[in-house]
Amino acid sequence: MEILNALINITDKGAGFLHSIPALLIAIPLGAAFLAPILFKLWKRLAEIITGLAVTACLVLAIYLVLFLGNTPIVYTFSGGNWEFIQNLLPLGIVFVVDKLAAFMLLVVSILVFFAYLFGLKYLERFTGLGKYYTLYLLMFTGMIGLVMTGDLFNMFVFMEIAAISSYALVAFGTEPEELEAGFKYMVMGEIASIMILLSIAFIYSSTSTLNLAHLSYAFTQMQTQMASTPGFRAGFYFVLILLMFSFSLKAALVPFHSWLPDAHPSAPAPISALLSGVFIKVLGVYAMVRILYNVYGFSWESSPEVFTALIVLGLASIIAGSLLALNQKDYKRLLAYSSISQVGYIILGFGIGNLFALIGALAHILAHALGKGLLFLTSGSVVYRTGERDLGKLGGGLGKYMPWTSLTYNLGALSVAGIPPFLGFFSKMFIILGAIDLARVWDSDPSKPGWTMIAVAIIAGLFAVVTLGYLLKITNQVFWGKSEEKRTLKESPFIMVFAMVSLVVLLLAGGVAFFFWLKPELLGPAADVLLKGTKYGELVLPGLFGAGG
Amino acid sequence: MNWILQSQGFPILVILIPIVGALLAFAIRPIRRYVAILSALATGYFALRLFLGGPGWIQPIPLPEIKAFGITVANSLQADGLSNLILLLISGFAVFIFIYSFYYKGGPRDDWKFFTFALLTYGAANGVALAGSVYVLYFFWGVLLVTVYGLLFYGRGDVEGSARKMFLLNGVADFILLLGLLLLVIYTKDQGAAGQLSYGHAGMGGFKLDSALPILSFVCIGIGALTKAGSFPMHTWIPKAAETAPAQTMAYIPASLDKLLGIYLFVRLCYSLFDISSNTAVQVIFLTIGAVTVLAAVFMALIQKDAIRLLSYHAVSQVGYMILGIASGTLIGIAGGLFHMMNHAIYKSTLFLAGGAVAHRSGETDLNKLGGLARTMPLTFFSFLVAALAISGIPPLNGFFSKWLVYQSFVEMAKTQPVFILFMIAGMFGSVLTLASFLKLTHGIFLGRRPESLSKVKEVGFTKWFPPLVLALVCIAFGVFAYRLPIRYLISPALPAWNGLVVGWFQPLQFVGFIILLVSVGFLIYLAGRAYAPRTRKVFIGAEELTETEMHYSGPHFYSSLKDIKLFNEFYRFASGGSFDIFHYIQGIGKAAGKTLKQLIDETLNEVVKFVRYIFMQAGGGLSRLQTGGLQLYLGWVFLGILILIILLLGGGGNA
Repeated sequence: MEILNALINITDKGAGFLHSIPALLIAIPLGAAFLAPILFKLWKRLAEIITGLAVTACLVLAIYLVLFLGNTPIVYTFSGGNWEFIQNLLPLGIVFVVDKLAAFMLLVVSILVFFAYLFGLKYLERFTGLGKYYTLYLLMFTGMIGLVMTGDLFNMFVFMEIAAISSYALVAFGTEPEELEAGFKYMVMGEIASIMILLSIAFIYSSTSTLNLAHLSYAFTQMQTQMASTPGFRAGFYFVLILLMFSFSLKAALVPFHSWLPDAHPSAPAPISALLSGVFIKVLGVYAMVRILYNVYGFSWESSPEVFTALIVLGLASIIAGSLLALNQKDYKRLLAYSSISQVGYIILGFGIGNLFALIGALAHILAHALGKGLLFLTSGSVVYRTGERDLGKLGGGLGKYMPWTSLTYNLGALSVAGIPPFLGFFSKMFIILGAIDLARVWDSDPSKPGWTMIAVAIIAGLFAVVTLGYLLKITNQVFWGKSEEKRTLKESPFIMVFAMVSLVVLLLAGGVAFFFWLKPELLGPAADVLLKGTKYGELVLPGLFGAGG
Repeated sequence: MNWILQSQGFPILVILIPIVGALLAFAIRPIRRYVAILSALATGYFALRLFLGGPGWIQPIPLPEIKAFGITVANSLQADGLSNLILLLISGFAVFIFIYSFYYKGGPRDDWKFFTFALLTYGAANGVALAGSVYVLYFFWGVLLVTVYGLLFYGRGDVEGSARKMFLLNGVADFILLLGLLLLVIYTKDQGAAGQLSYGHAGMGGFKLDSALPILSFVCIGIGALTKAGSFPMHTWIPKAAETAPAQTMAYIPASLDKLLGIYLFVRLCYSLFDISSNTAVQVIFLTIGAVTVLAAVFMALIQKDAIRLLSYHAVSQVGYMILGIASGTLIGIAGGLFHMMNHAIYKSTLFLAGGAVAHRSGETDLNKLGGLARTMPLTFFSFLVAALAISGIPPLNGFFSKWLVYQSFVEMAKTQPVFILFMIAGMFGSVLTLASFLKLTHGIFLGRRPESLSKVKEVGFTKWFPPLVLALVCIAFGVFAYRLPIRYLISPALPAWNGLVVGWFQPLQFVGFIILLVSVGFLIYLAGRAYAPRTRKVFIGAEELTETEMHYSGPHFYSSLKDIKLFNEFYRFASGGSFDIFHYIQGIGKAAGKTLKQLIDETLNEVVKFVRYIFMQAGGGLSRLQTGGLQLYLGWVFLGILILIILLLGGGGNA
């Protein structure tokens, strides 16, 4: 506790515990990441214990943030190195901003990281080099947390790279030839996107002289007026935007930038697959893109319909192609990986529709898919743990008899991902579809906008929810139900793995039950509100600047 | 928590008890059968209390509001007369089915699936009946889809196929239903309380079908409701399911629950929500669906050789009568439709359960291999016979009376529009064909010569003969005392606007007296006939004695020989006269029509399903081929994507 107090005192002078949480959330996993391999040399279990402590602490802090964060965001400035921060006016130093949206994302990330850690305790016993594993695991966690909280474009890039480079190594962690190949391909594709982000950062910095997100939103607002008069300026503006959207789409594995994902996600160990599909692509791709498009650029349907059209096209392409590809898969984890592409398509579709319903739906789907797909990947880990087999044809069916808990949790998780009430996944998809219908209603009163296209979008989204159930039940039928031909001597996975899976199911069910009572009014609504406020984000973070500027 | 055990909490209890039961049955497998029966009895008790309490006894239970399209819908659970009737019937059938399935030795091992999913289905069905607003209704409707899917996985053979078929057909229909319900919400936004299920509750105060929105809403909800009820042409999963699912599943889902819920929603639609008689075109469409359902399904039933499959086609056919009655839009027709729904659930459950008992003992459902079981299984035979006569509409059984009410509504309507009498004729013709197919079925199973292979068949145990017998007795009671029992105590409370008046004259009691008289005369003649006892002789051909098997001649086999008869012969026989020949002739037409319809509808639907699946798999396969694993190709994809982004963002011209 003394260390904690010291940390609080160093990082933030006199502003209360809540305001120092951002620093703790970075410091705890980062510190633990470097302690883990040293402790691993002393005693293997110590690495596990220190990781467990760090992960649990972060989960507790995230829950604390969600419960006690007010309507004004926490702005935490790391002002080491003699940088002066002119209060509320000019952003010098590294800024962390925790608003309701960031707090929500922190909660999602922490929950899944926690349960994946629990699952991994038993699952990873057969791997060697666990000291390195825990370092990479915590670094990836740090990267995601930092990315969610950062208020600075370059820092966003840095944290993205921390998370991404750790994930390249984790995908190849098994060091089998296929895994190394998948990791290599993943790295090439991922780095192309990263370099493009760096390039766009250079462009942005050269034209605005700032990288602080709040300050940028102010600069972009000014730029909109310039843009109308100078055509060349407009092309440059959009060039940077396209670079950013492409890079984030690649990180989020939207079709047609998805090709790395079906190789990379199944190759990783199951807890890592769960994290990659469950939160990683959403934080690095979806959250970063949405934060920049909504809060920094301040786009809306009225000002730039083309951006939202692009999001809807990408989303629909991902939903359709991902589902159709998943139908044809013969590998347990590969099928789930394609399903992730399709489900991220729903999330992007929700953000593309962009009204309150769709935003709530998209955010809820981030949570529902993180828990649901994380759970499904964990069940794949459970099956692999006992059978050593991922091929649906060779698994041969009837596993439900031997592994009842894995079977039950898989089936319930599949129902949630497919959007069957009363699970959380139903409400998220319902709200996305309601958003499309609502937008169609708004458009109908405007003859220049084709309202039926939105109805068509709603119908496609609804139809592919059925396809989702179709391909997920394929695993149910071929793996868990039915009869196996030979007698087997299998048993259920160890308790801690079952515990992680069952907990996720319980959360999915609780989320569905509490959706209208707690989740929507307390968590999703305020988070969606942050996005709807657009460039108000800048005013909240740097009130002085906006007061002075306009 | 005390309030929940008082009357106000009953609606919640009837939903929760089965669901808790299902969880218990799933978690503690050894007690699943007891849990099922106990939860059904407990739920039934509360359903009965609700019914006896009458409409208005329970205040609607508010649920959280849902706001969509700027329209706030107040959600609630409510128990009015119609809901109470449906709740009572659901519980009644559930009790019988669970007793019946108590011992099922030799059945598939995993019968926890049956108990778990049947209980979940039970809870969700109660939820549907109690829903006060469209969202609550759709919520439980969606749960039902999943639980029935799970339920169909219990059985033998291609269970996956039948479950998938059910899921596909009902999934599409549910989607259409959702569309209809949302349109209803939009249409009713100015009505004070949007999206409720009981406008104009005092009687025929529904909305007029006078513009596109209500008509579209009506048709969409109608499709959803009739598909659930198993109407033509969305019925094809039922015969398919009959091949794999055991008798109790068939008796529980397509024969009882689906009918109850589908017809319940259809009555709500025609009685509380919209006024179907305000738009003759829509009405004629739905009446035609009803008439076609009656005839097409009964034609198909005529050519079946498998007992359970034959029964499943009748489960489709009888829905037609309910649609005819309710879509007639007259109160007497709706009363007839409801009564028929109730009766149908009773006698069709009896038939499935009795048929299941035969299958259980003999291990056989092929009519060619059955026969002569009447003597060894008298109780089952009696139940089966009564239910078969009831379904064929023979007075004074209940099936006759409800059909009679339906016909009355057409007599009434024909006073203004004579063409409506055609639907009545279609219904009567359907009854005749139903009788024909049940003659074949009863003969095939219970009469005729018993094959050697069935010599060891005995009567089934108590749990297997008791439920059908009770249901058969109910068939008789509801027919003979139609006015005194079911009409007065069950139907009238559900339709407060109906005065219980029946236009035509039919007095069941006097009719029963007449029947008894006829039977006595027949018995006297029989006794007189006994005086000349027949002589027994050995049968031989060419000095060779014939074995039992060689002399065996199964009833259905006799029917199947009709296939070889040329059309010319049909005409010849018809011309030469004789009632039996006309019967053949009808059979011939029936067979032709049945085959054609089967080809047209079933096969077409199957092909459509296959086609959609093929397209999806091919599309997925095509996309898979692009996933070569080559990094160069992937990068090519990436740059194609950037091109798309450039076109989308710059090509549109933006706003500037």
